[in-house]
Amino acid sequence: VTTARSESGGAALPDAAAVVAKVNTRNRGSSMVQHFTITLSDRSGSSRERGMSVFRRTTDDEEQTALFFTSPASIDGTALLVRDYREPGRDDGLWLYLPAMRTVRRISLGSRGQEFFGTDFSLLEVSTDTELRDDLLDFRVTGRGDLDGTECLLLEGIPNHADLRREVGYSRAEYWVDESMWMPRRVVLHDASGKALKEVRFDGVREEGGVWTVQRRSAESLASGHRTVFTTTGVELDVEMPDSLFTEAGLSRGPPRNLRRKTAPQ
Amino acid sequence: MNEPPLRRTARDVYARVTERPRAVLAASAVVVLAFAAFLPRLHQDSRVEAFLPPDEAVLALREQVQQRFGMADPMAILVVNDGPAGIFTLHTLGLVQRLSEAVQQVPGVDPQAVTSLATVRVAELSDEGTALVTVIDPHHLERGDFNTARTLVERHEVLHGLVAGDRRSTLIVVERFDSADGTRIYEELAGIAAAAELSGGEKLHVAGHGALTATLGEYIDSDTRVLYVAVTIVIGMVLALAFRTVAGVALPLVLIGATLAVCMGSMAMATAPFTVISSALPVVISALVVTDGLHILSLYYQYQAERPEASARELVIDAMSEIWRPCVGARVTDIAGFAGLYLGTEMPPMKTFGIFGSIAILAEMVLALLVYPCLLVVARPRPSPVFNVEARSLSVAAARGFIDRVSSMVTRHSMAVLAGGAIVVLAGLSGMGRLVVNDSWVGNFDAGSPVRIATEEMERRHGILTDLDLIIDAGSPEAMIEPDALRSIDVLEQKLAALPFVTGVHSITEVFRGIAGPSAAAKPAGDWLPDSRDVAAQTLLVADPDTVRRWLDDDQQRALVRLHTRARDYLSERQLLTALDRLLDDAFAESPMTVSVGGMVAIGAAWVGSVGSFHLLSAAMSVGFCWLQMMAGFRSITLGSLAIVPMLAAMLLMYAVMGWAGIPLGIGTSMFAALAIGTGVDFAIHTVDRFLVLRERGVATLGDAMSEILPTTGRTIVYSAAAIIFGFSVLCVSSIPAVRSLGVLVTVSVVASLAATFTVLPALIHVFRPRKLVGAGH
Repeated sequence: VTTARSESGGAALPDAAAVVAKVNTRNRGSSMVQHFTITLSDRSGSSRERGMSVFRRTTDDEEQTALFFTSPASIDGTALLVRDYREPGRDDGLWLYLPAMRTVRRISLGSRGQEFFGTDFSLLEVSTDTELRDDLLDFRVTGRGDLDGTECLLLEGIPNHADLRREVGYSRAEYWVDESMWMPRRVVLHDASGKALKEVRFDGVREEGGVWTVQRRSAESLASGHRTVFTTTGVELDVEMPDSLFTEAGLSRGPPRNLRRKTAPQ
Repeated sequence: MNEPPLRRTARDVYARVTERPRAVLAASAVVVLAFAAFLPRLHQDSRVEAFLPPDEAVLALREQVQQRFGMADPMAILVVNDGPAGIFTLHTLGLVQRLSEAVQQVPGVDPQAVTSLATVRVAELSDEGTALVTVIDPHHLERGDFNTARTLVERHEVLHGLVAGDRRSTLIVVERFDSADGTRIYEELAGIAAAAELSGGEKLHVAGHGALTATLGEYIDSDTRVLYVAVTIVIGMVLALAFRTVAGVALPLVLIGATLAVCMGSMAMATAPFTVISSALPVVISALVVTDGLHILSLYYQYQAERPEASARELVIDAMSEIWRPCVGARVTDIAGFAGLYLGTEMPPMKTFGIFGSIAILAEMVLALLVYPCLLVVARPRPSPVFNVEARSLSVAAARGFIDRVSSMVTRHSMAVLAGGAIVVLAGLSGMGRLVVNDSWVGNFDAGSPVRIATEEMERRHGILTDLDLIIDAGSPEAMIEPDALRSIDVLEQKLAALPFVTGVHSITEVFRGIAGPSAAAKPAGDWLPDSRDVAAQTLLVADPDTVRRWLDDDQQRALVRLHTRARDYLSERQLLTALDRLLDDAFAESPMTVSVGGMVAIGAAWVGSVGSFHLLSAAMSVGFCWLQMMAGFRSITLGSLAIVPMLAAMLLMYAVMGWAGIPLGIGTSMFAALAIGTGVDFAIHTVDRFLVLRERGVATLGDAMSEILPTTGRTIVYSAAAIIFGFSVLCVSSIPAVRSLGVLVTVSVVASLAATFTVLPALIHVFRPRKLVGAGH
């Protein structure tokens, strides 16, 4: 249940930059391994499951994410590497590994607004997760709202140039930020006419070792009713990861044996 | 003269009914208004689904295609540029880009299912890496580059369905959500197209089956309004000619209005939808029920002229006690016609037409027999100049001369008249053998209507008129991406492409063909398909998800194969489906995969396919009901059997014309028989009943009876026939060709019934001399 209200006269709203900073500096741990079951379903009730492990770490220069599909067998080993450089003006890097073809391809940055492997999340949403990309969006605090009984700050994010709008496929994003943990809990993407296109939710948030972890990420294309749910089946924090994991060669080799699917579903 | 007991009883009943006429009128007004109160709830259903029973398999498959693959009844904006460069100009490509963006904003349109050169993405390798790109890239256009778009179209076969072979037109295909209002979306698309700035050589059309379905509703609305006004004017004019009094026009029209209020109100109450078939109902009912008002008022005026001193109530009681029987007889045969329509078909709109037609006639019977007399008593119509004794004697004398000539000719040449009738019967029977069932959805629109022109333009340029869908089920998740399964689909596609009327075949294989690039076309069939399930799965992971979802379900168990066809009517659809059945029997005989067939071609074949058998069954039932009713009504097998002959002869004449002139039996034309049967026998009923009344009054000979009947009852019959004929002929100006055909056939068959009543019926009576009519005195 959600109710939103804009506040002009009540308690002063925080500055958008401050909110973005709080969200982005929230403790995520220096590294994290997460295992997911991905469920895709359509309006007819047909659904399909996939398994995925995500390795994420933060260095001084960049945020590195390597994603490996673990099931079904037909896509086991398919991997994506995202390198989000902190250096201003340096574009992110995206690489894809398809084991059946034994090739690593660089993916054009223009593709980051596109769907992530047939799911309802975009590549950008998967790589960004609960972060707020102020290098891509101009943020503004618009009010407060109630999200399932939790008071949230409402932030509006507008793609900061026309090409990006075309690339990501929306004109305005509405973020519901839970101030108690400084994490977006709901994002609604709108087109130019204000029509809601997609809803992304971060649910089942719990604290593990001082880090807020999300148990259930969902994205629903409001037009088609197609839905994707990432259910967390295992989390490991502050894990030592080799540098090679976040290279093109590392994609084809896969994650080190000691990090593989310890808690992932069988 | 002794009055028969039945008439005495009727007189008593009408004395009671007219005792408190205002109370009866008030009570009936309340009932009619209660029905009328539901009229605003009357809803329209112009979807093709409305023509099929809800449990029809092709509808379930259509639902599946929509839910699993997001594909339904698409509308399309056809962008044409007949200039030398075709669509590959900066302006036309920009136009496609702008139109696609505008269309995606229309509420109810699925933005992810807008397919055009500006939205479909294909995998391309660039300096930055592999990317999914659209053919029309605004950056390219800004740089004045339109050649990249042309190169991409030539390179990717997946795009060929969007661009015509001569590169002079392209489509923006629009899918809407099933809950969305198609008519509004069509209007918005038409508005977007109308507002677009075009350069020389560019043209826009809003076309497609979805557009046809969406505009049919508006078409029905405007048609119904025009027809209803036209039939009211036409019937009003006939009534004015028949009576030349204000009451003579107003009172029967009040009766018609009340009947329509009950009929349409009960449709709304039962939530029965108003369809392209129902659009004819108000006209048909108006034309049919005017006869009671006309017959009753005629007799009233006739008695008023004979006994000017009698009160309105006395005249009404006299008239009603005499006329109620043929009125009931005629109405029961009308109900028989509608009942045949209802019982003989599974098609919901026909059933609706049959059941609510019956309800209307039943309501009219009650109103005409119980309420109309009270209306006459209260209104006290002044004498009609047509019926004053002097005028009548003049017209009787003039008519008698003509009738005597007709009567003596029929009597002298009765065998020749009957031989002529026999020839008509034989021609009709042979014509029935030549009847062909055919109809088409696009045929619901006038050749000059914009949506039909647009759809035919799309057919001419892109070869797309209707679609045929196959859902192939491989049995288990991921089984559809096994190499064998994909190869089977590829082989099947090649065979499907060779079927009659098929202009294009699309399936998941085009995703792989697109990735393989232009070299795929040169390789042997299937060489570019993945050689393992893993390659297929991983290829699909990086393909455009919208395109993949269109052809493959999330389980990767079921695939959609869509055939674009030029099959425009039932005959071509049947031909295509028969060939397809044979092909699928061979292709899937030993395959673990199963296939289901759906799409507009299958739906079209299903709704028209039942017409042939339904027509004969409903016509036979209607004839059977009428025959039984006439035998029971006249209490004579011979008289009942003879009285039905004129209508049968007229019907068979129509079959002869249809069969030999090649007029097909379609949705509209198939209803003519049931209507013509119920209407055609009315003339014979009134004529024979009048014979019987005159015999009861002691008119000695058949010749005398005929001379008496034809100028009086005959005059009323001619006017009621005129009201029916002109009423039905209003259907001929309908903008819906199916309704127009129905109007022509019913009108001509009613004219033929009338002519046969005045020629074949007297000849039959003369030859067979039924005892009940001719009597012992002859």
